[in-house]
Amino acid sequence: MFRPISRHTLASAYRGSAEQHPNRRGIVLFAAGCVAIALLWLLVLPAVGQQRAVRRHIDRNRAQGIHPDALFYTEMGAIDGVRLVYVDGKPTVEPIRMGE
Amino acid sequence: MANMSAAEAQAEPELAPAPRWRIKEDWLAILVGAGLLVVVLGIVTAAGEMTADGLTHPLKGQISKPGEWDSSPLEGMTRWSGIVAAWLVLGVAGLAAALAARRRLDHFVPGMLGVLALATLAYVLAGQAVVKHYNLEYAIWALGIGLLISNTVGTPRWLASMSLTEFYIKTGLVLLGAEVLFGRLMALGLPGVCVAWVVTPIVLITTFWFGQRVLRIESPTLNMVISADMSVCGVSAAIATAAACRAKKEELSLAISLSLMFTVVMMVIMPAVIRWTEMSSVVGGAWMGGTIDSSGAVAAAGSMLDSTALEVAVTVKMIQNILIGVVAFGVAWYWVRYRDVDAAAHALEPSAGAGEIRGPRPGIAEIWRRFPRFIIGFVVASILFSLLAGSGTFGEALATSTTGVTKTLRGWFFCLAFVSIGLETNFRMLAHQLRGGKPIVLYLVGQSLNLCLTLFMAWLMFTQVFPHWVAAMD
Repeated sequence: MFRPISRHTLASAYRGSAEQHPNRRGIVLFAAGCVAIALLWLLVLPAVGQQRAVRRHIDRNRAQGIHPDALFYTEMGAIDGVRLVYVDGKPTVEPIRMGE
Repeated sequence: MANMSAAEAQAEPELAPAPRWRIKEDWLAILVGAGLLVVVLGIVTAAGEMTADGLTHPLKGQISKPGEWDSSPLEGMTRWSGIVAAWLVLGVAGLAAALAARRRLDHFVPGMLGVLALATLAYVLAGQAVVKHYNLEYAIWALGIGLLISNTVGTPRWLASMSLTEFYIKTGLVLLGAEVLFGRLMALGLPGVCVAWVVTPIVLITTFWFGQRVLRIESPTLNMVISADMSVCGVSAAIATAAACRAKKEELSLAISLSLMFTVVMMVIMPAVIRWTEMSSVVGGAWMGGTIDSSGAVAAAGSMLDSTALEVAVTVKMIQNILIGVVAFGVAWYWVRYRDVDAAAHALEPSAGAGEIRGPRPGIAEIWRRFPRFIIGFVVASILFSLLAGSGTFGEALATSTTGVTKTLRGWFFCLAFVSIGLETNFRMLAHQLRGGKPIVLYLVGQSLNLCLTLFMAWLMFTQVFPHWVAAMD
């Protein structure tokens, strides 16, 4: 049984598809990108992480339970935030729990 | 997101055909998002354990993502069973989307495994300690990995078949809605509302106006996404507004790249400026909370000062985060009511200048017909979970323990979305958006206004109008 040829398939056949014929330049660039990522993440960044100022920054965040990569307040880690309440007419600060 | 022009379509790598959905994509996103929320809430209601620390969800820690590592990525993979569980949940959601979008099922398994593997790699790259603690979030690495593939060897069709960007974004946004709890709004009382909810809309609207009228940015959607991510809360606001105004994928990519770049700089410089000027911790914390885009970076910057600055900064950011629901709804309404009809009218008379032609304003019924449905899901999730959290201690525990689990899934959905965007984007399309440097100028002008207005409001509210606040914190 023949399957109907879609407009998309025809267009791919006509124009040529990157997926079917990745050229040599593309493969070399892809390999170079992968090598660069591996070198950067496995060698350079771990070395940068040992620099005193960077280490101090990382250790401080870890000690306080801060997640600096949080996208939204619910991901901020152990930081609960505060709210102002009045106890016996006097302003008082109390912590907010975020369910962490 | 908007359809591309013919010229852009020519420049795009060959991908899977545009899906013809059996059920509207927005409704599917709502169904999947709501289904996940109901299941997770049901499990904690039936089997949650109340301890001294609160309500513990049975699934807490059972669904996870790659963690932090220093020198070997394997350090971050200790929670591998949680990652497998997340893959399974996302796989089921992906299967529903593949069936609805009439994707080829023989492409589903390799395609889904492919995008999940790339998303996991993005999380691993983002988990490196230096990268993580300088706020270079997973979104940028997910995007980068996708771009590397699509612009070198090309995106294989089996992988492209599961690059369902909009489905992932919309489902993630419905889950995010449950985290937008309006009860948090009054955490800092009136001063907090003024800093986070008065300044932010002023900056958002002024920046958008500046981009349209002064810079004359070609794409209003790009202008809106940059304005929102700069004034509200970075990547999450960019995702929500981009979906609400149907921005192009490369516009979202550009906006988050800009935001993350400037966030790293502000996170380091602002605490130094606050120390140097001997600003009070409360005012300094509020200033940082209202201006630094990313929520996590706000906490990191606050910790560079002291615990008071940290707490105020985080609380102001939290209040500002809640604005995301109102902004997404407002932008969607504005686009349906004004922008879309004006653009349609302009298309009929292309010789007219921008802003010269106004289309007929649609009525309520027409607005409802065109309104992006997933925004309704987002807002309803927010209202229901706000009501639950406001119903008492147990209700709040239920809401927070549920979102404690779903936020991980929401992160995965967004990560899959950014991988998919990268797989569908050509570098030339990104470069085209940056032409003339207008987006960077827009960001800089908007952020400068944000810095000035927020500082003024923080000083006014915390030292002049409500000075007892500072006294209470000291």
